[in-house]
Amino acid sequence: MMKRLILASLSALLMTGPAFASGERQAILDQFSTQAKQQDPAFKGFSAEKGQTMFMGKHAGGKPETSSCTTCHTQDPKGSGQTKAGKEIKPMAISRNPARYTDPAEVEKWFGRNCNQVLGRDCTASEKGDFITFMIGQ
Amino acid sequence: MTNKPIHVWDIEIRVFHWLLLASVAGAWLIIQVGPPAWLGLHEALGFAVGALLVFRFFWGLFGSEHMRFGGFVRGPGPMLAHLKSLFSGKPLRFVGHNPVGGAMIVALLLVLLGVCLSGIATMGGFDKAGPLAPFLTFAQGRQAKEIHETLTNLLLVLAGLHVAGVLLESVLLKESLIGSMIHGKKEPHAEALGAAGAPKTPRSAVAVILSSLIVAGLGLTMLNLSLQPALGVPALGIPPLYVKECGSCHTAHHPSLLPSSSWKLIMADLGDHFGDDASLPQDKAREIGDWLVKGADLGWDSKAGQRIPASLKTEEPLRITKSAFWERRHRKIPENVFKTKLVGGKANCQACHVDAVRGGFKRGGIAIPEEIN
Ligand code: HEC
Ligand code: HEC
Ligand code: HEC
Repeated sequence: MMKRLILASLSALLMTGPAFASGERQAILDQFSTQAKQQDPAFKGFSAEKGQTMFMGKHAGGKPETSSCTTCHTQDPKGSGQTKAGKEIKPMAISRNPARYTDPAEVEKWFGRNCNQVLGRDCTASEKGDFITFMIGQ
Repeated sequence: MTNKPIHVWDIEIRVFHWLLLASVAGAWLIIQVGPPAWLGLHEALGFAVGALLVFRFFWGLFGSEHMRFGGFVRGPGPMLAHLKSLFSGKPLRFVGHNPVGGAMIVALLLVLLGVCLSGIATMGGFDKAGPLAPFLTFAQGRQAKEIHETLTNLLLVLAGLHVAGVLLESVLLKESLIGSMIHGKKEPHAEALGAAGAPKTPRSAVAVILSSLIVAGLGLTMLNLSLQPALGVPALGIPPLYVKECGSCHTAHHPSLLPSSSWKLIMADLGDHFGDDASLPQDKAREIGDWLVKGADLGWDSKAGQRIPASLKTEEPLRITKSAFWERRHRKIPENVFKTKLVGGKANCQACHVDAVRGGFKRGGIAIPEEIN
């Protein structure tokens, strides 16, 4: 009886684990969506394509030695990247790293740092949402 | 006159002799050519030499006649007489150790004892490990290391003289002394001088029991002391917040590696952190900054804690990896090793030092990761 209960709750946990993660990620996206609507009334929704362009593209305005997100995260979102100090960065793609974009404080902290590093400014809410949407598809 | 060879060196002393040679040579070679992580093996061999010395001491009291100190330790008179006989062309012949050889045995054993003791003191103060770690400061450990190295050089000289003496006597007396240390026998000679006064039969049981008791007792005491906290190395827990926030781009550097003044400077400008934006929300930055400053001010008597903050470059007060000590210790590592994917950079101490986050940097935990192709 006990065993079956434990088994049942375990499998329930296993099944809801990823669901939890995607729920938290959705909450973050919803927040960005609300902000985006405030920043731009014409906002329609996030675009994975725009997210890809931002991720792959070269930018001016930030530090010259880190002119692109791919400088650290590499061209392949499914692969591991490397910090400037040389430490491994786990993949950014959800398919490889389901824990990504689930902690609002982490997400804010790294967008804050990395957008400043690469673009020399904060990213807009729609840019952040586009980026995560792109990574969800990866 | 019968030509039956006589037994001079008993099995105990022969096994002792060759084990001692192997342990000392092995310990010396490991330091000369072995990787840093083999320091533990060097130390183990050192303790083995110590145990052998304890046995030799009791064998000198209770062993068979030519092994007893009473049988071969002689005064300057017999030593001079023996030396004179060498130059006179009619060298005196002895069954066991000759008087000069006997003095050399005593010198070798005493210097070896000094090497072992200074080695344990080096281990304790310099590497903060072993039975003396709870008692010795880093500065004392460095002095012990000087003594350890000087005595080792003296040992090498004595060992050279010992071998030269053995070869010389073998030639002069036309007998293979090295051979007799292997099979234990010598040709009988009527004129050979014996070990006057020493009893012929060994009291093996007494020697074995006493030396086992002493070795076991010392071993347990030392083991027990080794488990005590080392002097001047505070037990500082590393908060998960610190590892998370300061360990995401490189190894979370231990507070002992920089003075609190440097940590304050680092925490004051995370927005431009060595060219990276490492900014943190204010509350987290304050919490981490306070912890770093408090940790650094605890005072660290470890090798890294003593040598790195004290040797920072004045123009690079935030750079652990630009300190004179760090540069010297890593000068043999080619630049491209730091650029491999598994290492990544100089700041990734953890790639090569398993205990980097705890601030240990013990030699036993050093290994440069290599790509497996
Ligand atoms: C200087 C190196 C560097 C650059 C350039 C960089 N990143 Fe990052 N990024 C990191 C590091 C390091 C992390 C934290 C890694 C981890 O959590 O495993 C990170 C994490 C993130 C995260 C948080 C992931 C999570 O788990 O919540 C986001 C979002 C992100 N980066 C977006 C970007 C974007 C967008 C760009 C380009 C504008 C970019 N990064 C450029 C180094 C960089
Ligand atoms: C966004 C990435 C990032 C984060 C987060 C970060 N650092 Fe750094 N840190 C770097 C880089 C890049 C270097 C320069 C490394 C190099 O030149 O190899 C560096 C170097 C250092 C050094 C000097 C290492 C040396 O070369 O001697 C110290 C000390 C240091 N960081 C402390 C911290 C502390 C404390 C924190 C947490 C508050 C922190 N770092 C967080 C990127 C980061
Ligand atoms: C590429 C690998 C590698 C990296 C990265 C590395 N070390 Fe080392 N370190 C070594 C090796 C190898 C030695 C031993 C050198 C020797 O004595 O032969 C060593 C020795 C040391 C020692 C002396 C240990 C002793 O007892 O002799 C200290 C302290 C130390 N490293 C600190 C650091 C710190 C702090 C960092 C990061 C800022 C670091 N190391 C990064 C490989 C590395």
